[in-house]
Amino acid sequence: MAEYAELHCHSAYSFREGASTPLELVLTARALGYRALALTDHDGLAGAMEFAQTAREWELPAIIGAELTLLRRGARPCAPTDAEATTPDRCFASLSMADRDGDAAAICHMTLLAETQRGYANLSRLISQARLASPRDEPQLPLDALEGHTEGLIALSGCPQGAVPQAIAGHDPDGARRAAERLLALFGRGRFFVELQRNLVHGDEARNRGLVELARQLDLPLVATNNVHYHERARHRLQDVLVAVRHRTSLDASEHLRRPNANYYLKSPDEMAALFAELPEALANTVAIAERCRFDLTRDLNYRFPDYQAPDGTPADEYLEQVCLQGMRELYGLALPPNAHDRLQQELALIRQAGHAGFFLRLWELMRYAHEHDMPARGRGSSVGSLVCYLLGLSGIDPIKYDLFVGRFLNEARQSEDVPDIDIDFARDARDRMFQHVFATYGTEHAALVANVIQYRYPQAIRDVGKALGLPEGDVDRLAKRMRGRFAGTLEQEMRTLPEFHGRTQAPVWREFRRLVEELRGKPRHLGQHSGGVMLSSTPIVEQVPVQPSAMAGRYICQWDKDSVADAGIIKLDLLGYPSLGHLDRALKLIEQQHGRRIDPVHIPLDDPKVYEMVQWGDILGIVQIQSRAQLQTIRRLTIRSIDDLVIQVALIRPGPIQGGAVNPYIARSQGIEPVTYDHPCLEPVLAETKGVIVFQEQVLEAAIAVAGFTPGQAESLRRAMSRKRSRDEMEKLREAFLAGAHRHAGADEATAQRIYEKILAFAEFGFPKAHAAAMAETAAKLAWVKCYYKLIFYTSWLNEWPFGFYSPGVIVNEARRNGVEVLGVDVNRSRAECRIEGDAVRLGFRYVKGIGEAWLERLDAEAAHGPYSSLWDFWRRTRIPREPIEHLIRLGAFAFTGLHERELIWQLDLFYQPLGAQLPLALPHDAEMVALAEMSGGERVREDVVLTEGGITTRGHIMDLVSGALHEGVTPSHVVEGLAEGTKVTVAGFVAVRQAPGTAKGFVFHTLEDRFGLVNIITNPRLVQRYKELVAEAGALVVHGHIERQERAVNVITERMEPLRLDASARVPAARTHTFG
Amino acid sequence: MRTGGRWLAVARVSGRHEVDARWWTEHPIARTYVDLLLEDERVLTVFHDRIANTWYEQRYG
Repeated sequence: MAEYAELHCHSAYSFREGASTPLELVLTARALGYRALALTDHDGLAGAMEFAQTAREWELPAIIGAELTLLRRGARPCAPTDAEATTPDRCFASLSMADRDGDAAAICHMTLLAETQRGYANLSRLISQARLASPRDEPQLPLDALEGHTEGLIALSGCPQGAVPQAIAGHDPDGARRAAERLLALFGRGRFFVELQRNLVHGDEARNRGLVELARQLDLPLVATNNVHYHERARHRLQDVLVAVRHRTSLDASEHLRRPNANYYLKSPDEMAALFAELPEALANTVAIAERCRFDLTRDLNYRFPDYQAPDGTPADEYLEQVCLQGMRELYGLALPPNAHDRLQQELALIRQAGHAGFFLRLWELMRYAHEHDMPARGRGSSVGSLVCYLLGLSGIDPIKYDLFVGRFLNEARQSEDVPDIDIDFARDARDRMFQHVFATYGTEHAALVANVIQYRYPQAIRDVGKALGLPEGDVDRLAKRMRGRFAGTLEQEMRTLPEFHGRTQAPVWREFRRLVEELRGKPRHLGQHSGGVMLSSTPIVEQVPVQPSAMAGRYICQWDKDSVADAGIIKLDLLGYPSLGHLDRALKLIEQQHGRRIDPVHIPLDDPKVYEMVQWGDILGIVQIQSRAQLQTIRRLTIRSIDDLVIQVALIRPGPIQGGAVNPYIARSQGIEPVTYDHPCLEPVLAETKGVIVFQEQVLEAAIAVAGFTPGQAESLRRAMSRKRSRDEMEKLREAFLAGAHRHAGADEATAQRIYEKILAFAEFGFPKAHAAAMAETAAKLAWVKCYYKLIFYTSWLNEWPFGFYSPGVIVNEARRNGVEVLGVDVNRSRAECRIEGDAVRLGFRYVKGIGEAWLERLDAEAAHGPYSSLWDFWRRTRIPREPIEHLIRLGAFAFTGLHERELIWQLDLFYQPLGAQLPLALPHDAEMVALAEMSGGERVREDVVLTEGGITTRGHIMDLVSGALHEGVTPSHVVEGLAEGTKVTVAGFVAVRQAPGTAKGFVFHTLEDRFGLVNIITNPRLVQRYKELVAEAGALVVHGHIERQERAVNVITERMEPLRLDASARVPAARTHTFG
Repeated sequence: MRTGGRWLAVARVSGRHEVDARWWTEHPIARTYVDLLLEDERVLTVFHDRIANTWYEQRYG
């Protein structure tokens, strides 16, 4: 068999170009017996780490490279512009891509391979440079920019778009020679190869003849590549589709842009040898180059976390201990827990051993800044279990008080394998300020945001494939919408249910469509931004991973997602937005403002029985982590009397414990209905707190230690394997180790060990560490305290912090009213941008009026300082806001003070309104021009409220006023439903507040309906979900006929049939009033 | 090759290329084109229709 290494290969990380994943490429290359495989995606290394890790796993030598888009000398780079209709064509065709200045050959491609660590750093830097100086998605690097950055790189002359091949194809031998000489000068002899591609395209032969001739003249080595864009021939169809998608056109219209044939797949070494039979050295050189490229991305990255310079040259380890001891004195005072010193020393020893003291001190510095600048923040995740984190102010949660396990965060295995994750929650605004501070401190050279790889999901895949195939837009749109949520079945099933597809689902084009959609689904589409990850490095980040501009000015985003960053051993901080911290902070500030009582959140009592009584009663809307339907159901069946109970409650309703079958046993055991049992006696100390079931992530580690005798490090490896996307094989290897260990260590028989392992697997990563649950429960308890004692303030601050959480503002306002808090409508003389307290009521803020943007909100607040408006005209004259928001304000009753009703005011507005910039009219007596107009009815006003406010807030009536005609004595109100017995037949009606189809619910769908009296839960089984699919997925208001299911105080209506709740004439409810989630 | 009513020997194959197109339509194209240098020094292009598994002579103009 011939020997071959493919040195020019694109993966799906050449976004909307490459049609195969790194795994598909690696597996195919391995099966074909390749000596090595290079990944050379276009102008990026987004897939490089995934590729390198996968190749290592499958023992295939991996070469990291890229295909760069270059601007020839003298050509001017495109100025950054918005995304344009066409992006640079790649590799094939589109030679007409040209530059905007008419220089058709300004753009050229070049293949670069990292031979050494220096080469990789240069490659990453060059890509960054191209990305930062070019329009979005159009990276271009001036050829001259290569100067000084070619060390450690091997250059191939490129695809037909390369500078040399282009000149040869253009019958310009002198130009080709000049280009080759220039590249030779840049890279040096032995590091510049003439690249030959033979994809059986018309023109290949002539071009290759010219290239060979030139190589002979200049004594340059030849190398063969196949410009791979997919792993197997059949995938060429998806690649064609992607090209059409990238050019926003159809397959029919993109013939000149697509590759002409299906020969861009991974060919066997023998096929390649046959193609280059007359040039064996071109094939031999692929192997020679592969042997030279020793850089291993999984091992050789030159990353160092910023070190910490302590005062007076104190070593970082010593200084960290000093800071911790100081924190200990401040936080515990004389009440120092007996084991605190030992625990601190144990953690410090682990940190010292790993050399991470500087990392902790850097974080301490950042959080000190946050505390000094009034930024509400606290830790989340496993770091909350660390005493060091508590003492440094990183977590805000005392791990000793909650008896938190630190091994999930710090253990001997993590020291060598990876770095600890520290996630910190900030109030929304504080998080933005923290990002600014991080970038101001470290600069873009040493800090970058972490990327998120956005993958194709059904709707986008359907739209893109549909457009490429030229399918009817309406059909494609309906199908995309249909596949948007969790309510959807398979694509084929959905097509069968739509009448417009009747008789067409098996038509060849629709079959092809489905196949392509399934192939495309899950492939990377583009890079987005991770929700809060930022990486820091003492070595320049651009030499670790390419960066590109982010949506936030002055900040860069790196091309790696969190998995790649973690694989690289790079420390990532997660600075996450947690609006409930903002909710709490706003509330405490309002308490001080309204009552003169300054409350430090640290001192809010966590043991107030009245607060837990309220929670137990189910008054939990707006209390983060425990306000969901599922939480309410369990809260009503359990006893919540302390923060410890709340910690378990927070962790219990998670996919992990649900799938692990922990919820019902825990409830039954808490109620004394069933005895507490353990799968093996050695689990008792681990699971006693949670009555024999796994609720917390730490318990997975502790169970593995107790049952299988794993070390903390091995147990952490098990947890990590559960959390990774690429870890199925690892999980199976660990199963063997677990079973063997369980037999040896605990004497467990295989069946018992298997049962325990399966529970651990089912729990997987989808559970909270207790440390995290404690942090969440504390915030919940503090918010519950505010709700218990300061309801008016609770709702005001909730409305001002929104959007977040489960409920729309319309539902929040109705809940406030049921809790005795009145919410008043907008009034131009009383409202401000945000909601305010007015006496014993909340005055709605202008921010809830549709059509008033941020700039106009500021304008309104500024103008309010100049005194009340005397009339509509005065308001318009002073604010000059556009007509539409003024009309919205009128229709919402915000000018009621004038004594005129809404229609009269709109008539008046028509008399004088001029758009901004027009000459101001004289203040004429408009009253003289009035005509008699009918006043709006109460129902009309409710309709206006629903439509013109964000989230459908009604302040001049109740939303149920819109369905009064459809209600009758057979409909049971929600507060009556609460008292009905199991099995009672019932009909309920209301607006859909929440629609939920969790992945763990096996096809069941949950609705929370809101009527005038409260909320009622509806459960619909999968059979009825299919029967009433449209209603289940889309209806804003429902009538449900069913029966009562009661488990103690938890009551649900089980659907038997449903129908839409008809709104009164012309009324409509915006979809935003319903919160739909999976 | 038989062309123009007479048989001519192929001196060599001077080129080969493939086309895969219109696979999404009812008339997909999957062809292998071969340029043949004939003994009389003419170049003749033939193609193999890989779907119909049939050979054709490519005529230009």
